[in-house]
Amino acid sequence: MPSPLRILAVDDSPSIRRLIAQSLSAHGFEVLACESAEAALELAGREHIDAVVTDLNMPGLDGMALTRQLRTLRNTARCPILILTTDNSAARKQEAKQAGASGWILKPFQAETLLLAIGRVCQRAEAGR
Amino acid sequence: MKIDLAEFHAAFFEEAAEHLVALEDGLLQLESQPESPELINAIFRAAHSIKGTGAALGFADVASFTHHMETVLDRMRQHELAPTCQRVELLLRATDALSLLIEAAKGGSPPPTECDALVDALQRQLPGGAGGAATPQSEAFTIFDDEERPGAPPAAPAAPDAEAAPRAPSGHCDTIRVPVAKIEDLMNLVGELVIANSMVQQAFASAAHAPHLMQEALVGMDLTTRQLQERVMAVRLVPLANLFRRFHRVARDLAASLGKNVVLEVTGEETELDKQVIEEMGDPLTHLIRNAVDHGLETPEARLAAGKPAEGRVQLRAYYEGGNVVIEVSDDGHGIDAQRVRDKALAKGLIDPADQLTDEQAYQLILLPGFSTAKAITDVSGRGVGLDVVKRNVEALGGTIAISSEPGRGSCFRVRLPLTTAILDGLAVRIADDVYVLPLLSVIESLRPERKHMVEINGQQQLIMVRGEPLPLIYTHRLFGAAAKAIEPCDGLVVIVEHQARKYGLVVDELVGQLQVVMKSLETNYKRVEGLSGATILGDGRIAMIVDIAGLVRLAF
Repeated sequence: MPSPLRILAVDDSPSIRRLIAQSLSAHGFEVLACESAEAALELAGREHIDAVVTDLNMPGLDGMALTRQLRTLRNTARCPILILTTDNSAARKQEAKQAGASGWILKPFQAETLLLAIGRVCQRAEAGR
Repeated sequence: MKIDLAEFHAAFFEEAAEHLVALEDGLLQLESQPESPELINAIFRAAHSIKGTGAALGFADVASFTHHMETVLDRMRQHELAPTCQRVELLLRATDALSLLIEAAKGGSPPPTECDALVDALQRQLPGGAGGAATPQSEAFTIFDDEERPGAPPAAPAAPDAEAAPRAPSGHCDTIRVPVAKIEDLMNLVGELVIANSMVQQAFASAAHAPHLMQEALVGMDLTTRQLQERVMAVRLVPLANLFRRFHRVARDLAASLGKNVVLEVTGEETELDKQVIEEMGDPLTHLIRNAVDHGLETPEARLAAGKPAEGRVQLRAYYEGGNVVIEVSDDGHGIDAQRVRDKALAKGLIDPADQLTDEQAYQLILLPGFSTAKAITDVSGRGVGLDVVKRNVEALGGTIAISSEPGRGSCFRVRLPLTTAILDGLAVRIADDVYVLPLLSVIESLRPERKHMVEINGQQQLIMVRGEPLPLIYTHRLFGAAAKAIEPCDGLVVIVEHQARKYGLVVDELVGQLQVVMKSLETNYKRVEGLSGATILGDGRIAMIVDIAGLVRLAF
């Protein structure tokens, strides 16, 4: 049996973290959750990660900076990174794309949307390997 | 797939409460440091978090209202809007409305009516009018390099539907945030206890040839058990900081509406108290602060005329004293006129002309229901709540309140509270065949009276002279249904207790000792009994009643 895909969720709101965890773990994903970009970087430095879902606006490092730094780590250099935010501006999306993000999910989100987006980016990552 | 959002709602409300505090706190600070980018970022983030999480969990009203606040804050962050006093004031009002909106989302109250007007006012701040519609709706997700093709959202719309977001039950959630260090402390102590336990086991096995081992092991276990009890209690203790924070706003708003200048100085916010005690002290302290600003401080003109700075000072201090926490609210206003209080109480029939009240006792009169020294009814005192509510709340928590004042210099309300309502420091006394526990907070001393100290009035009521001060005696045996075993004060002991700046002598058989007891409610296990505040189980398994001094005084006189 293949091991479950491991998703790193980063959001400073505990309820969003729980919501992501519940949405994904019910579908066989393993979810690691962090409340800050700093904690996420530390975790990504020592754990295998299949995909990242991160908030944009957080105290300390923001999601944009996190994306850039994750791209420099061996574990996460190529894994899908999804930005989960209320921000819907084209400029910010462009910025995220350049930072190395794989996709953009708008809050409020439905569990199905999150699953669909994760499924799609993971498939693509699999195909590109 | 269906996710029950309800379980996230409680967490959201707790989170939102913290963000609201951060919002308000930040906005208040912004008035004095409008140039700080960290500050405005922190404020923005608080609004942003409420919006984001609110939207995700289906609170569309909360999200869209916060969106308008966020937009203005974002422009301030980008230096496109200056944080002027008017804008800060507007954002503070919006924060109030948001707090009500969140209350409404809990299902407790109707949504505030001023939201639309506030949204209009917020939008007017933006150059070029409205900064886009509330919570923009568009594709649910985008995968980059996918030709920016909008991801086809599933059948359900992105907007939350009412059915999927059942309203959380009203009422606050009973959770507590505990620093990890406290929990680690507990883990360590439990570890110690396990070791102590195995030492006792081993010592028991060898007790016949090494009795000292057994004794040593038991001493160790006793120590650890005690520490564990103390630390578990400490888990319930939280710092006063969160409660104190809101009073800046209370003092500022009230002073502004009264045309007074006030600075609120807060010290000791790191002092910790039982969570329940803190929650229940919110209203009484708000009242004391308002009272200090409204009745304590003079107008700027009057202050200048009296040779004081125009800006009045209200101090809110908290500190530990013995096993208690003292919270003081003091002002540097005109003080309380004891004679005026006496006259007024006399006119209202609250006291007898024959009563000789010290100034301290006279001050206590302002805590009586129906007493108000204010010359005019302001919108503060017109709220129909008097200082008697403060007294009642404080006493319900097992605390006391003392007032001191100096004419022309100011007044001080000193609230003394037990660290927790669950454990009581008590003095155990024997009355007839039973043991009763007196709250140590009220006990001043105990003494064995001599006959020459007893004074009789009308051949009935007896007084005891203590260092020249006549104190009324309370015959506890009669009040607690043991009249048959009543004793003369000189055959037993008299414990001097204090209640509302008056002293009383309680006649008891003997002292048993000082101890810490765990309070059990009588109401939940039996029924309310006047004069008793609860019961406890003593070390030897016997049940002892805990005496409520306020109730006892009511019973006796």
